[in-house]
Amino acid sequence: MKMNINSKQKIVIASVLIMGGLATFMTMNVMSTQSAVAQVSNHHPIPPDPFKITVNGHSEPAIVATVKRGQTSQVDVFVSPNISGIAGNVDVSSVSPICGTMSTNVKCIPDGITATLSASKVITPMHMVLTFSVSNDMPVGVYSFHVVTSTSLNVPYQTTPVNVGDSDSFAIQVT
Amino acid sequence: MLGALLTLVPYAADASLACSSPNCWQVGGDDTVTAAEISANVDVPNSLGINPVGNTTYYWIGGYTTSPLGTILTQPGLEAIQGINPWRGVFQSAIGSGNTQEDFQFSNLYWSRPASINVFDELFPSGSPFSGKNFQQLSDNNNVMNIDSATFSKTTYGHTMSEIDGALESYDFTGSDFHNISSTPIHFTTFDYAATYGGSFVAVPLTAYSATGSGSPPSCITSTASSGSTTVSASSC
Repeated sequence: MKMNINSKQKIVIASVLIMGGLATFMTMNVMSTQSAVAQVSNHHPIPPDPFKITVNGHSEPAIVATVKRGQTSQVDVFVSPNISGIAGNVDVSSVSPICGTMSTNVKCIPDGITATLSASKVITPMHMVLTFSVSNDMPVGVYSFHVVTSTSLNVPYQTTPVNVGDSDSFAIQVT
Repeated sequence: MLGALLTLVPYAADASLACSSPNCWQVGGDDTVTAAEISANVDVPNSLGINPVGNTTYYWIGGYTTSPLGTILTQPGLEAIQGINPWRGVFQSAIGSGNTQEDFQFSNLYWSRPASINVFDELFPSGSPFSGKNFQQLSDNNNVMNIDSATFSKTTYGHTMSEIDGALESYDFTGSDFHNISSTPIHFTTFDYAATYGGSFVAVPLTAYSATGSGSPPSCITSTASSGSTTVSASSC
């Protein structure tokens, strides 16, 4: 009898322990799941910013030159890699399409401004000359251009490189 | 305890591939209409502050097209950058499956509320001198100086988008980044598309959606949508 009571007690005790252990197990797993949902990822989905660009000393959008129709003007462009050892391409173009080229569903500018850079590659911090030539019949106004750099960067969050670049948007005023 | 495990999904689950990365979510509006060009006006909301989590919060419009690398998402928009208050204009594209970036361009444009900007995204038809490229543009509706664009060509982009989205995307599942935008929802308005290159614009028939790689978007982030507009709101984040 005594043994039976002890056996029953052992069974009850064992059951409580099992249930308690199961409850604890379930609690731990629920908390882990909630932590996984609430956890902020360290994943960085934007690449490093590869270049710094200034046009006539400006890194923000600004009118960098005033050019009369039929004339040519030059301004300084400075491009500097932000990451040691990288190299890239550099070019200048209109921010908006030239009318008649891309779709007219986005604002376009008349053809009549020629923009060229004295360099096409950037390896070290360097100055280059940006030349604007404005045709005689170009309408007066303010026209936005940008100097654009690009390079292929290996990034830690994916196995394939990203084509990354910067653009410095600015404007010239045609008078 | 069991109740806390239930995931409430108030919107249609979406097969958007860009968020198949395990760490991101999107909330916004989308549609599967075919488009060569898309355009929307966006009211810039409050910034997230100077320390948004891991440079991972981005709101954008864009479309899915097909490249030799697979389905690829083109995404012009505004990014929250650690250390600065305003949103920064960026242009990017990513392969849908795995969220692998292809092209990325930082602009020198920064916007704070109450700016209004236009976001534009375009593909070109076969035979065009720009065939295979992707043109994206951000322009300030009230300041002609604040305009920039990108022309991408790392891969061969397709000619039309099969799905169009306007969304807030982030890697912050806690919602902790979004308190500042609780009073300033992100409105995507005049959300139009042209079915063909150079064609007429009509409103995109958007429906609200959410998408995630794992877990669920923060419950405080919600969206509504209608023809030509979608709004992403933060409530008590």
